[in-house]
Amino acid sequence: MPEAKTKEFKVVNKRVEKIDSLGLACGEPMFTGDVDIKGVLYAKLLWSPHAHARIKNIDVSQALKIKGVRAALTYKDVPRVPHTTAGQGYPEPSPYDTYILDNKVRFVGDRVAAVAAETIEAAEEAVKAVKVDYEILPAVLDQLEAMKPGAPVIHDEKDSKNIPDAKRNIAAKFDFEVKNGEWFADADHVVEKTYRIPYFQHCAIEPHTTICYFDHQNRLIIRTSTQVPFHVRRIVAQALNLSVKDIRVIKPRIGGGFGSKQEVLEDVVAALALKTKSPVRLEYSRKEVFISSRTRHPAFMKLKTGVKKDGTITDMSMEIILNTGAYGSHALTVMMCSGSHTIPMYRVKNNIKFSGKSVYTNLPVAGAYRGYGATQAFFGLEAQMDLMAEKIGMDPVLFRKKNYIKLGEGSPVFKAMGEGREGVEQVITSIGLAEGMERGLKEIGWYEKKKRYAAENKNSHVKKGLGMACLMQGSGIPEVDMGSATIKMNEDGSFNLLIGATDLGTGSDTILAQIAAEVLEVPNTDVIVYSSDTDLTPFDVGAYASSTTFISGGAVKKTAEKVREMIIEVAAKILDEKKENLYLKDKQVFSKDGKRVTFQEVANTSLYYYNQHQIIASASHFARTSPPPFSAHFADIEVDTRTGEVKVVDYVSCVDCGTAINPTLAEGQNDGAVVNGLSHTLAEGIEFSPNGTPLNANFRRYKIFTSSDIEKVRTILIPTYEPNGPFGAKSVSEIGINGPLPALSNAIYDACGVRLCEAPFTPYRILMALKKKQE
Amino acid sequence: MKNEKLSLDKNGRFEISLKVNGKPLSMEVKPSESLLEALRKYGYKGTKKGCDTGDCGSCAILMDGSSRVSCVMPAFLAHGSEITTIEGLGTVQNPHAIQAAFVEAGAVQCGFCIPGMIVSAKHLLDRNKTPGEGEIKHHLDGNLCRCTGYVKQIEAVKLAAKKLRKSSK
Amino acid sequence: MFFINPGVTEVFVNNIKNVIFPETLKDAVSALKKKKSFFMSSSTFSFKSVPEGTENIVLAKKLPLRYVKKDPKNLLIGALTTFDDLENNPLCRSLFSGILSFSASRCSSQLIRNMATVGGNIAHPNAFNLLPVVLTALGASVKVALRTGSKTVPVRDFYSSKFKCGTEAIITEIQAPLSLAKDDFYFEKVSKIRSSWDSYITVAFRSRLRNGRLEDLKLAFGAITAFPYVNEALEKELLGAELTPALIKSVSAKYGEAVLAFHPASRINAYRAELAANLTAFYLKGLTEKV
Repeated sequence: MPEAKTKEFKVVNKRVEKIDSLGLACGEPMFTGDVDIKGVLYAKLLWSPHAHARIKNIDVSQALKIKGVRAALTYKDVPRVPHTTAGQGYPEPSPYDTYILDNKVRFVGDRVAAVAAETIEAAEEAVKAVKVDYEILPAVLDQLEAMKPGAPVIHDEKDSKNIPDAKRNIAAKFDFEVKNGEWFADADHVVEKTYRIPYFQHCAIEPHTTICYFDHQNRLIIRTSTQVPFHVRRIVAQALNLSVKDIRVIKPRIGGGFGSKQEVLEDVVAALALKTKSPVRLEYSRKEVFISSRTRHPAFMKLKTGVKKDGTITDMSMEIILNTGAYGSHALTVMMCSGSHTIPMYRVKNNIKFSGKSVYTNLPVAGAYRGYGATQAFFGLEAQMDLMAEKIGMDPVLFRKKNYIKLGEGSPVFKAMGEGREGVEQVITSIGLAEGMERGLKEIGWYEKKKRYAAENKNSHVKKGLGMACLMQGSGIPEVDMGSATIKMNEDGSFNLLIGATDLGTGSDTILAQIAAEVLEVPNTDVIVYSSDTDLTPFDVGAYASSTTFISGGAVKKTAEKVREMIIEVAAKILDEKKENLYLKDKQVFSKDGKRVTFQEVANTSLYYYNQHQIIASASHFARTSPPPFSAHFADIEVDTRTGEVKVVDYVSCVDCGTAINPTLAEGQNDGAVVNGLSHTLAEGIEFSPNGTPLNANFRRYKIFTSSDIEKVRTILIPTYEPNGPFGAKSVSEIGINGPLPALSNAIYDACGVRLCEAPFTPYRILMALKKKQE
Repeated sequence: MKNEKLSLDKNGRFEISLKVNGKPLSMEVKPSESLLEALRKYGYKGTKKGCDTGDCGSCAILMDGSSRVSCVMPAFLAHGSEITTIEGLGTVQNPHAIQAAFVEAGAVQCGFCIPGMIVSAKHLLDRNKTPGEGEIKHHLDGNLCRCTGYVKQIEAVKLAAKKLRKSSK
Repeated sequence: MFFINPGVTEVFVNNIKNVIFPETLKDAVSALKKKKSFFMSSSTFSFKSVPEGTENIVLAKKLPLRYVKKDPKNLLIGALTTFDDLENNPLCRSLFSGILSFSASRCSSQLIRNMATVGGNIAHPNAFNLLPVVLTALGASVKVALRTGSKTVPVRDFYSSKFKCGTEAIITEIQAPLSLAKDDFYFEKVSKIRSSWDSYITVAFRSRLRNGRLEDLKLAFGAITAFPYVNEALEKELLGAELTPALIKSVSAKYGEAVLAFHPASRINAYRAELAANLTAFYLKGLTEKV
């Protein structure tokens, strides 16, 4: 059935060329920092050297004396408006606990002062010349410690809002329970395990860059590397007491985000621009990106599950405590997604419990990062599935097959837990997990290798093993995320597509053009895309929650259908036909009896000849459901028992994203997500000194996977058809990153009997665990 | 023998002479200025700054034919050398086979790492017309990419090698 | 010679007034005579770590020090030879079990291998420099040009107080004795990421068996401290002895303990100690299987 539908497509589900690829490959100056603006000033920030301190006195007089320095701002010079930097829809489900500049610092790397100068050297000198008197306060660096009575209170200010329990440093909490009987009464075995992940950073290769300048009407223009241009506009206005109409945000090409740019950090640059009345440019250094932009939420997760001998999962209790760092951006939503995107994966017979907290610590601020809580939770859940299967002596593949959610089924979690608020009831309307599992098992050679490795491992210091994981995510936030589009027609039958949706390198500009082109019966190259400009493009929440294809795509489809109607209206007059008898095909309008008129003629008629009007339409879309993509991951690994090194020989992920609007781009998204996951599973993690200073905040010491660290990584798209998505599409960008942690934990256990529940699985950890096992 | 020497001018700058993309160029650079900063200042925006410690490769250029990171290199070191940046390989109107291959193979996502990646690929394909997968991975290991996982980029280099072999026949 | 802190962010290059491009070694040495002068080759590392007050940079760029060749006694490697040169050089591939080529291929990443020079890698002792441990196994010597002429120093003395040369010395050549060219060499680098600058440990081992017993042996361990670690007493235990599993286990364990002693409280160092023991045992066991 799904196959038949994709065969009908002309542009959708085709591997068309990404529209910006050639320019990027030729080094065209397309990124935020690639422009030279006359008279631009260079901004530099003074960051806190202390994890927790009050600013008793701050003196910028010496800094201002330096030649070329035009502004030096402290908390005294900017409005004090509590807000969140989280790029989320209004009202944001994150605490309003952040200020542009404050008289307290809450982590090493927190903002202290901001300087703008004519040269970068003067700005650097000025930052060093700012004199600060700190009253150092005790700091807390662990989320469990931070909740204990007597722990330092990080947000003791009176004016912050929406903090559930500031005295206990709790930035967000949520509890949910479905009880159908006594806990674990039905279980033959109870498995309880704790899983931990540390600070990971997105490492988008382009550092955060923002340029603020003024147009001829003295409006503030923010040209910035962001995933959320509309949220930037609103939150900068809020923080600086401006009106939205005073600001325009433009997003050029961005060098990756992965969630780190779903955050509003532009406020301080805008403040400098307003103060100096000059253009101001801020480019984070790599160290500043690591420490002072955003990270993933480190997690401490306790899973307690009950299972029967026949493979039924009877009870599931998930307790997750996230470290949200010094400020609570995304604190509630990441925590809720860790439950809402994972627990529905499997049928639970009796009782379900989710207990989540996000806790402040005096450490870097965690925010949105691909996977968004599901990465942390699937680590535990998919490892736990293997543990349970082992307890009852069942094949882990069969155990999952027996329990995963099926077409038409729902989960009490869907309604109870959304992202920051109650969710929506939904059932699964498309799922290709069964096919994905079958295909993946075959591709990796699961059963044959299991037998062979068991024999080969006996006589080698290299132990081989296999592991798997089943995953789901979401497609946008139901009843919250909205996108819109405008399409207008040109003389030659081409179209301009204006979308708020944000392409961060994902290729959304291209796939949204494909969707429009499919409806309008033109090649995708006849659709000219302009995106992410708050003055010129209609609203879109931005690129996050895997919402662009599903939500923004829905808006584009609706808009194109409206434009189609307008074209038919004009053609009906030209052909003297009833509208019902007309249809679009190959850049022309046809009547059922063979009469036809070209788009060119329709356009010229409407623009110039008769009943002159611009064929143009806008539409918005939000969804009532969030149909999950599904994926089955398989890892084939080797553990060198002399050194603890792990080599991932083959990694197969079979992903069901509904219809892949552009299979090449969908594969590329999944490849990147998987390799990011492999990298953080085996090699990443920010290390801190006892006083909270990051020790490896650079690409020298925090090294991510390079091309020589991967062997075989394969993405296989499993086509299904999601009735609620544009042309059957769901999302694809996030899900891939959730597989490697559990798949590798399972594979390493299979290879050498060591069960790792704390990431990353460095050679050090593995060898020491092997040693312990021997003793 | 009199040795070549650079001395600071009255503005505190060195005047260095080099060739960029085949064109002779004179650059005024501070002693502390890296080659990356100098190139971008003179309009070669394709070369990117990702880290400043030589670890990400987005600043890679060819210096006298050899791919190197330009962010840890003082500009004055390039005096007398031939530099090739991504702009020197091809343009949108007339792309190099490697650039076309990256586009065709779907290897360009955000594109920030791509100029450096293509420069590294050029260096590889200049010396080895038939690189195997292992050699490609080894040669590109200085170019970090977070978007693609390198999968399609390795395919792109294979495709580029094929294109170049075809065109040289 | 001076230590460089890789975390250094102070940039002292702002005081540079002159850059000289000498074309002969003699000119280079004489240029270094001038006060506040500093010798720079590829600058992968030295650009950001120029000593305070430096005013003159003496650039190696034009010096004829990039070569790999043989003379009757030694393999000669010019100090400006890059890691990429070493990796691809036929002599480096064929002699000494290919350890020079293989270890060079494991240095950092291609973009660095294209720039980093042999001289630069040994001039400043640092835990992440790859070559010193390899040169130790090779029993190599370092030729240095001084004002007073040139001097050739065995690698093991190069880092010790036995040899003082100050900042005016220029490393010109590495000499690896061909008498060892047919010995069995082994190199391994253990790291989280293949192309990282640093590693948990590097090992460079050399051995020569005669009638199933070790006639000669060098076990060098790198990346633990700034200098390669060698223990001649433990090597002596193995020379001429029957390599029984018990002896291998005991000597390997002693190497582990010795490495542990460098930083007894550090957990990562405890791991390094395990690595030292395991890799030593693995190598020695492999030798017994060759017999």
